[in-house]
Amino acid sequence: MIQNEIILTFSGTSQAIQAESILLGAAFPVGVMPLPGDIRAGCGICLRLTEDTADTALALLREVVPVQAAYLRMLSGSETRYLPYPEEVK
Amino acid sequence: MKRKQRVSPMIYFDNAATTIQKPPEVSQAVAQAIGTFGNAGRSFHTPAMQAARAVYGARQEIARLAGLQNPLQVAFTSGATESLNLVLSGLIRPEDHVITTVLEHNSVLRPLYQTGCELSYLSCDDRGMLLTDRLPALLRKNTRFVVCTHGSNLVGSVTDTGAVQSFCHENGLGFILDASQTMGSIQTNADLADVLCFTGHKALLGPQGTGGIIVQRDPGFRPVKTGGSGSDSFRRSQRTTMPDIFEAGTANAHGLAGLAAGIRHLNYLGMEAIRRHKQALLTAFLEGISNIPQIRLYGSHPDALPVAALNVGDLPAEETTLWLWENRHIATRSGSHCAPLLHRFFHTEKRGMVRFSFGLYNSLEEVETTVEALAALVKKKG
Repeated sequence: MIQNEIILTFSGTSQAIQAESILLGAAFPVGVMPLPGDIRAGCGICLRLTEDTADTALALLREVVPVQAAYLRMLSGSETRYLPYPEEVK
Repeated sequence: MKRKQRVSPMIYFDNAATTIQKPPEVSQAVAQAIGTFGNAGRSFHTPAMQAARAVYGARQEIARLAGLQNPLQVAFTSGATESLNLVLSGLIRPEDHVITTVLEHNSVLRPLYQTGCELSYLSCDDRGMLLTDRLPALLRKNTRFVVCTHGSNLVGSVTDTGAVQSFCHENGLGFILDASQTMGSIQTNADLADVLCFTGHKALLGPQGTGGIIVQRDPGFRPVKTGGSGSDSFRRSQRTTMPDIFEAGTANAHGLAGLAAGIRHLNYLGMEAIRRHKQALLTAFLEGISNIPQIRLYGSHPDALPVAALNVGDLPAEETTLWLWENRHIATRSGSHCAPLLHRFFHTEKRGMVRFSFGLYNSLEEVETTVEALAALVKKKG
């Protein structure tokens, strides 16, 4: 089970689906989840990536789909924390 | 014992209204979608994501067909009528002046009338070709848009979009194109105009209830239809970015899955091969009826869309179309074809015309049978 992952948020669902399509097309292991209540974003769904693929994925998306924000999703026992991902994505 | 009646197979020449024969993949895609899809863009679970991916897949197919880089420049609607209503109501104000044409369908004219704007009409010649050199004479200080059809639904004439686009560029006007009859029939690139409105159920071979808007350059849309989008739920107004500005409410993901299948089939067959096939049908029809002097053909010519409008002798149009249906099982359309200004141009408001529109699945044999039927009708009633 993945403990830490990166989630990407988008301004709208169409942008999220477009990003997923691009990442799947490039064979990234990408998942989908509902937008956590702690995070404000336009789109109600967000994409999940493994931490080790996030930077490459963000670079791929940068010129095509605007990513609203990226967060490190940390699972610690029963607690889940979302920390702004340090890479510049805006 | 009952006598067995001979029933001839139907010849369907009403493809400009809708195509009824679709590739089997279209109905298969719709059936599969109905049994599996959730609500696109509303959740992350598999059924919702399947629907969302299908909608995005349809955007990709349209984008490829129209030469677009970004599929999100395509918004989906229930058809060209909704597209034109959303676009025209979202752009035009009562104080604006708009140039449109005598070729237009009511799906363009009625939304324009409803805006309350001032209108001028570009006329056409006897072939139905727009007289684009007259555009400058229609220009006023408050002219903001040219709204015109890419191809006439009645006589099949194709608009010289290059001339209209140059005029718009020179005068800072927005150009909105109704591609209902051309998308899937002839090359219809997104860069022909600032905004293109299209339907899915005609030459694109998709289900009814599909269509859309392609935005090449945003002229400053105001949202017309508002509601849920799966995005920005706490915001009071509709998002104004593509495609959300036009897509409030649940997408017709079932239909769009079918539309994508229809377009893939067109690409498989080859758009140019399809165009040549339809052109051959039109040419054969025009050659066939040219030997029947009692037939009056309106506007059409060999380079037009695969559409021909005519009347037979002094017969009202409805008598011709009724006779063809009842005696030869040939489906055509009579009446005014929602194109009132062009009927006025040809003085056929009362009499109407009979329109024959050819499609991918029609054959030369069907055309020959129909020409023979028209000759028989002339002999009987002409």
